[in-house]
Amino acid sequence: MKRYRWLILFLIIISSVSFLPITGYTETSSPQHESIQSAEPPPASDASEADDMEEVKGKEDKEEEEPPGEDPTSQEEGSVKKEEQDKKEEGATDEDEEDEEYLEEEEMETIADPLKPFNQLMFAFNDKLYFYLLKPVAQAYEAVLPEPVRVSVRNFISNITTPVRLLNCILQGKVEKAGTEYARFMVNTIAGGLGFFDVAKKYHNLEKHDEDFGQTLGFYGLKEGFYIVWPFFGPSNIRDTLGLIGDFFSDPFVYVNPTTDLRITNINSDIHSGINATYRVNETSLTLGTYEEFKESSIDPYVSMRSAYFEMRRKKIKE
Amino acid sequence: MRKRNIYCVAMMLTLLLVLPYSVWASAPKEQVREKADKVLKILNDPALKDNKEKRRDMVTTIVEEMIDWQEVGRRALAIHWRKRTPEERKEFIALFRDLLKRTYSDKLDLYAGESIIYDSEKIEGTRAVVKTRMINKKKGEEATVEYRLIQKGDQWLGYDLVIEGISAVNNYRVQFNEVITNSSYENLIKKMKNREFRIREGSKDSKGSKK
Repeated sequence: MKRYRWLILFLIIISSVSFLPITGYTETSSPQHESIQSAEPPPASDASEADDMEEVKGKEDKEEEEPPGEDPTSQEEGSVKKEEQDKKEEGATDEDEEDEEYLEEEEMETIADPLKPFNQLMFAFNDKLYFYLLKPVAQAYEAVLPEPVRVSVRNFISNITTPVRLLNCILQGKVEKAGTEYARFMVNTIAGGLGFFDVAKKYHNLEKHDEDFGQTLGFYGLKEGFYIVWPFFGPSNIRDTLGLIGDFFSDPFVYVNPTTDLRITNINSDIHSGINATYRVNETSLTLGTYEEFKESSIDPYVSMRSAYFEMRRKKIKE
Repeated sequence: MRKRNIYCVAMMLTLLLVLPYSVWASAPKEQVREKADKVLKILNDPALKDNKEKRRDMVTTIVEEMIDWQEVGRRALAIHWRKRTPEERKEFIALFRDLLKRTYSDKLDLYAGESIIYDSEKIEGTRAVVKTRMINKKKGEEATVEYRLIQKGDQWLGYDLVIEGISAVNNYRVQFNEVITNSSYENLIKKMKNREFRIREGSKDSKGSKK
């Protein structure tokens, strides 16, 4: 018995440690993802679903191996929080608790919409635009070009518009993100065939960061203002409308000018709007059916879109 | 003597293997993963690819049992929930459940080989948030999907799904609130019933008419 005493003790310790990450308050975010992904051999472009599944499983295994670094403390936090909650539940009746929660939720949903009649009209206009123009065009486009080509078109346009994202990363002081955007541009332009292939993401795990001028304004505390639906452009608000104007001037396509005269009075937006239209059709062809599903799933599509737009923008500004 | 010692160690080892496993089963992330793996397996099954109806039914039965419908309904009606009688609540939950079932099972047809990465889980008391990402390799797209769960016994049941920062329950709450404040609760029920009828009677028709 003496011989195995240490072994048994060791096993007991190990088993108790293995409980730690699961009990109480735990946050197991995994910053290791990047290193894990780059450590793995890059999958072939025609990776099958089975490959995907395996990859995900591999990651999961690695995740579980995470050492429970700060867990003892976080566990304490958890138990404290639990106690607090228990006390609360004892003190308050069910109804009161419900009320509190509702109030919290109600406060979240305050969207000013003084232009509602105009907005609803524009919403209807954009809806018709989608079903009678954008969708048929996108369907024809989809029939002609195979998906990999359309993804490449998206990559190319997105690569050229890097300055929009880079500028806004810098304006918000997000140095790391700015660096990623810059690296993405260089890698994709040189190794990705002028940006037609997103090799930066695929082989170097450099993720795109969607930053725009509207987010920069939000970052510095400008209020979102009321809701506006623009014809063609879709849902927006005061802040994001200003953002659209800012983005226009940082979009390199605006300065593509046959006369090579780069004075601001000489801006020729023909190419810019042509590229924009291509981008829209291309995007629509890659997301066909999504808008239809959205409409199907809502009781009031106008209200649903308004709420979703604000929630999405608020999340993006927080990031 | 020696034999007994070995027996002891063997016992410890089996305990070690079995115990954490049973605890894992109650971790929200594992529960979500377990269900999602089942769903992905069905969606990736080539034999079911042509039988979309069957595929939908199989997935909805899996998903339905991991949702706390009472909580979903309560959160979606929010301030209007308290004014409802138990029968009204029941009726509302049944209608809402049907609406969600139909719309989300329609989305299954848009599945195109996406895989899931599980990022983090956060537990606070009886609530948990499991953050995941849906990855579409071919299109190079990525979407964050957040599962919000509530503990019921030894199970974690879902009450909200947050896709790209957009909470499904929040979105419905705003819509329901709009209808109720502009007209009445009865009108909302009427709308939901009509919609159900429309979807049921002419799912092909409603899509066709939109061109």
